[in-house]
Amino acid sequence: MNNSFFKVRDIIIIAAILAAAFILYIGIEYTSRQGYTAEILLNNEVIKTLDLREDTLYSPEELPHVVFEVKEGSVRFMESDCPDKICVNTGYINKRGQTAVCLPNRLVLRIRGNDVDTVL
Amino acid sequence: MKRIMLIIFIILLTGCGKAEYNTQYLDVFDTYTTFQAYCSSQQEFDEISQGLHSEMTRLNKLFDIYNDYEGISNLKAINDNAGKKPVSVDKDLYELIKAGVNAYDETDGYINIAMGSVLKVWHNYREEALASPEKAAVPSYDELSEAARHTDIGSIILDDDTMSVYISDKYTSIDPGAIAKGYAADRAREYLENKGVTAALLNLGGNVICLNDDSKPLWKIGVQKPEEGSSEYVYKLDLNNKSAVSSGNYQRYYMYNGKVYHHIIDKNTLMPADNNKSVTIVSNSSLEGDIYSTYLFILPYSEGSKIAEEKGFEAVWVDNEDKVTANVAQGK
Repeated sequence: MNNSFFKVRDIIIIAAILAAAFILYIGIEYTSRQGYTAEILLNNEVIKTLDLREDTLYSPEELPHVVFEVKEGSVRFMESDCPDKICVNTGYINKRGQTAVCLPNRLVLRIRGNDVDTVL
Repeated sequence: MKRIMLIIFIILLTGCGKAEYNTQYLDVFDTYTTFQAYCSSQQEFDEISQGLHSEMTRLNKLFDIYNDYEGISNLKAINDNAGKKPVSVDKDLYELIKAGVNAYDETDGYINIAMGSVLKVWHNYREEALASPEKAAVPSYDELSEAARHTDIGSIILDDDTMSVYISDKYTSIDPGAIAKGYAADRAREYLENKGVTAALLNLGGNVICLNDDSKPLWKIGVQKPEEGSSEYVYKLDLNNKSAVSSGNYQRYYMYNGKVYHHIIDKNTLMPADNNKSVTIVSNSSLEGDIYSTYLFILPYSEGSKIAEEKGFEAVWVDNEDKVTANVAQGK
């Protein structure tokens, strides 16, 4: 190894730089994929949009036993009166295009992706 | 060790290209403006952004019809001197008015910068209604038609030699609403090009201009769902070194008896045009886009679509039932 083009120390440094770059890349990718707005659909119609930058609780008028929670940029079904609780068990979602669904209540919670650069 | 330095240098060189930066201005052209650009550092972006902001502020003051500014001979000064005397003005204001006069001929009089008197009536009713909604009202036809007697584009007299503007009828005034932001957006593009910016997007409250290079071949633009402040869009445009301008009934309006009264007035009825909810035009010049988005907003789709086709504009209509129609005419 001593006589090769790269010294061991070189390889360690290169590996460290690549690792740092990789972590940075993942970090940027992760934050840029986070969405800011969630939509709640009832029977395929949007009944509410939630700004994920503001912590809040919300219950649809039609379904007072369902509670949505927005917390630190994420949103979830916090409570639901459905039998299977699949929606609640989905937990927090926070990335564009992610969904949580409650079929018994005909509810869809999804993060909207603003995949355009500006709106005019 | 030298080898390591070389490798690090190469990584730095390739890893630290240009990044996208963004900012917004809340104090130009009475609208919410966003600016994005690819720059090599925050500092470089800040310098460009500040320069752009001062340029927009300068034009905003020149084109202002409500406020005076010390040492600036602006559009309000021209209006204030209607029937009195010509006013010598800055090149940008002169060019704006000249473009406005040309727009009149080009649009069969639908875009008429001499319609200030009529627009002022609507402006006052709108301000009143927004300040106290219970006082909302609609101007009478008499009030509007009286104002409309003083909208002759021929009253605007231009003198190229002295770059002066004279309004010969003292009751006539210039309102550049349909062209000012478009003109400013074109100047913004020039500013950015002169600064060597090659990838940028400016959204001047409904007037978009963009620059593209290989690192950013397209900007994706959403045509807004026609509701005030909505960030939802109903149609997506891919822009490359183009302008896009929207005129819509959700931009400046007030409500009266459950009906929307917005700011784009049809010269024939003197009432807000009601053929469309919004029209968006993609063109090279943002001034032209501004003129034609307003013109086509006033016209019914059947007439507007023909004009868009003749001009080679890509255009998007949102009609009163929220139906979206887009032509994808290329060229121009």
